[in-house]
Amino acid sequence: MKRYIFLLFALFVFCSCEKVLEFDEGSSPRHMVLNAVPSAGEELFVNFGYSHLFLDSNVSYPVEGADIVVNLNGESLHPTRVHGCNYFFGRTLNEDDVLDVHVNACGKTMTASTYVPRFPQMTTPFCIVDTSDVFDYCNVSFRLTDLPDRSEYYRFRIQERDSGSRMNPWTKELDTIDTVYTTYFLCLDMPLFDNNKLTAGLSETESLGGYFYEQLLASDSLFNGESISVAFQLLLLVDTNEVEPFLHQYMLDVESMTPERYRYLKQVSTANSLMQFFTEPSQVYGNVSGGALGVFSGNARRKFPLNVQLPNPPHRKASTAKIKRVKK
Amino acid sequence: MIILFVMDGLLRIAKIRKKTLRMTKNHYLCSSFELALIMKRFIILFISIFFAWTVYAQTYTLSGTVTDASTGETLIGATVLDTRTGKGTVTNVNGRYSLTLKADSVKLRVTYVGYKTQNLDLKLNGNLKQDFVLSSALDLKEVTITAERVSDVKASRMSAMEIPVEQIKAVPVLFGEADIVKAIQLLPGVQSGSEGSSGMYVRGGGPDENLFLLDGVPLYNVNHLGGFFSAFNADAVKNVTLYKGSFPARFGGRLSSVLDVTMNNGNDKELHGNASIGFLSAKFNLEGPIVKERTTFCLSARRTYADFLLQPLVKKLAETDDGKSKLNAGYYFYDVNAKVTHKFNDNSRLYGSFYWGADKVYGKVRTLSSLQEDEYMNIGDNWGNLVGSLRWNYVLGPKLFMNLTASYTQYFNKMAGGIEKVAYMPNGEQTSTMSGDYSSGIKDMTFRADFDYTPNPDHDVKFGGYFLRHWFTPEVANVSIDYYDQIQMNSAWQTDTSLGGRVVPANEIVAFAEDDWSINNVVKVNYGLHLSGFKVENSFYPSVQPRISGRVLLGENLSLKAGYAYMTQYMHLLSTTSISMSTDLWVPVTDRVEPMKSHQFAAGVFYNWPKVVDFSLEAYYKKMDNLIEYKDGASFFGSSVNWEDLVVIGEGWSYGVEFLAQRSVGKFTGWIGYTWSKTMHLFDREGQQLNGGEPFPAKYDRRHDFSVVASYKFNDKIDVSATWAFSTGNAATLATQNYLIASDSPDDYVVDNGVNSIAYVEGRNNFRMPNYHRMDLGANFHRKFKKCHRTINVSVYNLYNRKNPYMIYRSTEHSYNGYASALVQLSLFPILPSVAYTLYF
Repeated sequence: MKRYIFLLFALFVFCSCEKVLEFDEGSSPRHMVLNAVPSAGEELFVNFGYSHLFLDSNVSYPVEGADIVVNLNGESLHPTRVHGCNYFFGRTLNEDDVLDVHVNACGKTMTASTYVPRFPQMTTPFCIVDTSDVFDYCNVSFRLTDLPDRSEYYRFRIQERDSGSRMNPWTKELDTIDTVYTTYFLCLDMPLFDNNKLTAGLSETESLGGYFYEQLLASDSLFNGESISVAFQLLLLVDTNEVEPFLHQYMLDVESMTPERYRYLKQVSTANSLMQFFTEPSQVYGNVSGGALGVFSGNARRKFPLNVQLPNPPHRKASTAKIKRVKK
Repeated sequence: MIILFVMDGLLRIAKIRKKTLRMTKNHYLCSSFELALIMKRFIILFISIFFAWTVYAQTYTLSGTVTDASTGETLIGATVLDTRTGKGTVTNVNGRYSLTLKADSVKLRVTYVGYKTQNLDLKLNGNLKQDFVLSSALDLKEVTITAERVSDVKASRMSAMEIPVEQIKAVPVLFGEADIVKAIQLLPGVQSGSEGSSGMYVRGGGPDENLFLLDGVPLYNVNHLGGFFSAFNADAVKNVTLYKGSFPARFGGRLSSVLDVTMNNGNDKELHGNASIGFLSAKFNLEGPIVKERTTFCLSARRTYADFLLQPLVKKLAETDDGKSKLNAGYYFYDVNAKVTHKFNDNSRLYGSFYWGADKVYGKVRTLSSLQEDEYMNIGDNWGNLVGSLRWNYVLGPKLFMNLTASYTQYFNKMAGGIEKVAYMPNGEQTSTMSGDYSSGIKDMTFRADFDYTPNPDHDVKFGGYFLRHWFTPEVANVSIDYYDQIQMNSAWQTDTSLGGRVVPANEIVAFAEDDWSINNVVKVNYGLHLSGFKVENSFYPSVQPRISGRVLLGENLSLKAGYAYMTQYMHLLSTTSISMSTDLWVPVTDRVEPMKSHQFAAGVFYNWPKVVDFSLEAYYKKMDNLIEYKDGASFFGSSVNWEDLVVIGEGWSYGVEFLAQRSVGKFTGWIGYTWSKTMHLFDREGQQLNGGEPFPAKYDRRHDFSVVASYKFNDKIDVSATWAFSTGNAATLATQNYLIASDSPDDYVVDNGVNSIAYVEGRNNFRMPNYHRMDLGANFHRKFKKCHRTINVSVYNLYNRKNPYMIYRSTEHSYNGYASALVQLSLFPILPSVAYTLYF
C-alpha cells in the first residue's frame, strides 16, 4: 500500500509531460548551401542544394537550374556528372591548386575561393606502450617537418577500429566500445607531468571533443613555423579480468587545412559539442558570398594505421583470480 | 528700508519710511514709522523653504508609534489624519509617525487596513507624544475592512504597490505554501520566468535588475526549487512593498525593481506560533516576548522532506537483481528566519535579524557493477543565502528619526560532480575518487544611516547614506583525484588543484535625499537625488541619479501622475539564454564593462472608487544601456578571469501599458491585472554584435500578460480563492533549418543522422514558445478550539492540467507530419492537488 501511495505521489509531483508541438513549416525559409572541401589527391566535387527542415532527415534538395563553374588554376571547369546535390568535375586535385567557384541560381550569384594545402610532411608515427602502475597508455609520436611559409592548420584524429565489449549494468547487454578515453598533449618540449600534477603544458593544447572521436585542432601559432613533435597519450580502458594480450587498432588521421576550414571546424565543434546546452547559440562561419551558407575550403590528408599490442603484464595475472566481495 | 519680522505667526515684510532718526552709539531710534504690510507668497528655493519651516511658530508636533493591540507589532503605513485640517501622514517602516499641526483642537483619526479605526480629540498646545494601539477588525460579525488608508490616488509615488500580507496568504498556493514572489508575479508589469525556472522580470528588466531587501538587507537569490518557492517565509513577513518605477531616492543599485520585505518583530505580550505540515514541506513559526513588552523574538523555519519521501521510491524503482540500487537522487531546501527586537525605551529600539536558507540537489548513479568493483557517478548542486543585520532605531526629536544599520549578506553556489570507484579486495573495500566542483558567490557588508525628518505636514524628508563593501567570487573550480592502486595497495596518484578563485573586492558609497512635498491640496511631488560611487580595481564610477514623481488631484478620487527615475547598476548576473540556473554568476563592473544605466518615464491615471475598487492605468518607457549578453558560442563554464572576453555590450528598451483593478475591502478581495509590453535588445557596437547588429526581442519579451486573483471569505470558517494567469510565450532561439557539415567525402552527404549537420540560427530569440496559462484553486477551513485554532488548506495547482512549456527540443522518438522527428515540448508540473494542515496557538 505504501508503495502505491509513493507511486501516486511521485506521479503527481514529478510527472513530466511531453507534447508534440505544431510547427508551421512556412515560417522557416530554406537557404541555399554550398559546401566543398577540395582535397589533394581526390576528385573535385561540390555539394550545392537547399538546407532542410530540422525535423527532416532527408538532405537531398537540389536547386533547380543551378549553374556551377569552378575555376581551377585559371581553367574553367563544368560538372561532368551530378548525383543528388553532388556535382563532380572529373579532375583530381594537386597540392597548391587554386580554385574559385561561381554559382548562379535563383537569381543570385554565389562565389568563394580557396586553395589546396600540401600534404602534411611528417615522420612515420611510432608507438611506445607503457604499463605503469597508474595507467596503461600508449605514446604515439611523430614529427611534423617542412612546414610551409604560409599559415597552415592541422587536425589530428585518432579513431579506434575495433575494440572489446563490456556488460552494461542497466540493460544487461554487451555494449561494444567504440572509443577509448583519449587525452592529447601537444608537447612543446615541456614536461607533461610534474609530481603527478598536470602542468601548464595542457593550456597550450586546443583539445576540442568531437562527437565521434577525439580530435585536436592546432593552429600554426603553436608551431611558430618550426618543426614540432607531436605526441598523443592514449589512456586505455582495460578490463581487469582480461588475461590475453589485447590488440588495439587505431587510425591516425593527420590533415592540413586552410585557415577558413580551421575556423569553420572550430565553430562546428563548439556548436555540436555535448556542452551545447550550456552554450549560447551561434552561427557557424562560412566563406561563401552572395547569400549561401556553407564553406569552400581545401585540405590534404594522410592516414596511418596503428597497431598497439599491450603485453601481458604480471599484475594482470594476479587480478584475474575471482575476488569475492568481502562483507565487513 | 525693508525689514523682515514675525508677528502673529506670519512672516511679514515691512517698508519703513524714516522720518527722523537719531543715532546714538550705533543704535537707530525711529520716532515714527509706517508699516506697509505686504503679504506675498514666495517662489523659493529648497533652502529658503527649509529656513522658513524653522521659523514657523505656534505649531506643535504630534509623534508616536502605531502598534497592533494583540501582538505589539508596529504597523507600517498606518494613516494618522487630522480630519479638521485634512493634514495627515503615514507611519514609517518602524511604525512611527510625526505630524506637525497648528496649536488648536485636533481631531485625529488613525486607520489601517484590517484594523478598527481609532479616533481621538485633543487640544494641541505643545509637542505631544501619542501612541496608538489598534485592534484587529477580524472579530467583527460583518467581516468588513473599514480602513480608509491613504489610497494610491493621493500618494505622490507611482509604479509602487503595497500588498497586505494577508492578501498574499489568500492567493492559492502550491503544496500549502503561501509565496510572496509568486503573488507579486501576478501583478501587472511583473513576469515570472518559465515554469520551473527562477527569475522575476519587471518592465522589461532582467532577473538581476531586481533588488530584494529583507529588513533592508539585499538578498541575491530568492529562489527555492527552481523558482517555485521564494526564500521569503510568509509567516515571518509583516510588510511587502514593490517599486516598479519612479524609485524613491533612498533606493539604488538595480535598474528595474525594488521588493522591500519587512519581517515581523514578534509578539511582545505572549507566546504564539503556528506549525504547518503539507505534501512536501513542514514549517513552524514562533514569536513572543523574552522580556514582556521590552524584548521580543520571532523564529520561523521550514524544510521540504521530498528527499525523505521519494528516496525510498527512487531506490526501489532503480533496484537491480543484486538488491542494490543503481540510483539515489533527491532534493531538499530549508530556511530559517530569526529576529530579536529590544526596546530600550520609547525612543530607542534595537533589531537583530538573521536569515539562512539553502537548496540541495543530489544524485548518485551506479554506472558499473561487478564482483570486483562498482563505479558510481555523483552530481549535485548546492546554493543558498546567509543574511544578518543589526539595526538601531532612535528618535532624535519629535520630527527626526534615525536608523543605523550594520548588515552582512552572502550568496553561494556550488556544483559538484565526480566518479567513485569501489574495489572489493580481500582485505576490504578500497575507494578511488575523482571529483570536481565549481563554485561562485558574492558577499556584502553594509553600514547605513537613514533619517526621517518631518518638519511639517507638507514635507516628509528622508536622507542618509551607506557604505557597502562587496566581495565577488565569480568562479572557483577545484579538481581532486585520489586513485587507489589495487596492486600496490596505496593511493598511487593524488592531486588537488584549484582554478580561478580570484576574489574581486569593490566598494560602493551612497548618499541620498528625498522630499515628499505637498505643494498644495492638488499637487504633490516626491523629488530626490541618489548619489553613488563604485570603486573596483582600477575603476571608479560615480553616478548622479535624479528621481522625481508627482501627482495632480483631479478630484477627491481621481489623480494624474507622472514620474522619472535614472538608475545605475554596478553588477551583472551572467546567465545563458538557454537555461536559467542557480549557477548564474554575479560579476562586478570592470574597466571594460561599465555600469548598466536606465532612464524610466512613467505616467498614469488613478481612480479610487471608495470602499469598492482602486483602478490604475499606467504607461512606461524604459531605456537601458550597457546591458551585457554572452557572445554567440560562449559558454558559462568559461573562466571567470576572462568573462569580459565572453560578453558583448549593448542596449535595450522596453515600453508598455499596465492596467490594475484592485479591491482590498470586504469579503471579496483580489485584483485583475493586464500588461501589454514590448522589450527589445540591440547589440551593434563594433566587434560586439549579436544577431548581425539588428534588434531582437529579449528572452522574456511577452506581449500580453493577464492575471485574475480572487478571494472570498464566507465566514470565519471558510474562505476560498482562485487565480488565473495567462501570458503569451517567451522568446527562444530555435534553429529550424539544418545543413550538412562540409566533408571531403561524397558519402557523407547522404542523410542527416543528427550529428553530421549544423543547425542554422535565423536570429536570436526568433521563436515563440506556446502561450502559458493555468488556473489554481484553494480553500481554507478554519476551526477554533479552546487554546488554539487550525486551518486545513486544500488547493489545486494547474486545475485543468495545462501542459505549459518548460523547454522545447527536437525528438527522434516522435514523428510529425511525415517527418521522422518532431518538435517536442517538455512540461514540468501537471495538475497538483495538495493539502496542508496548520495549527495556530
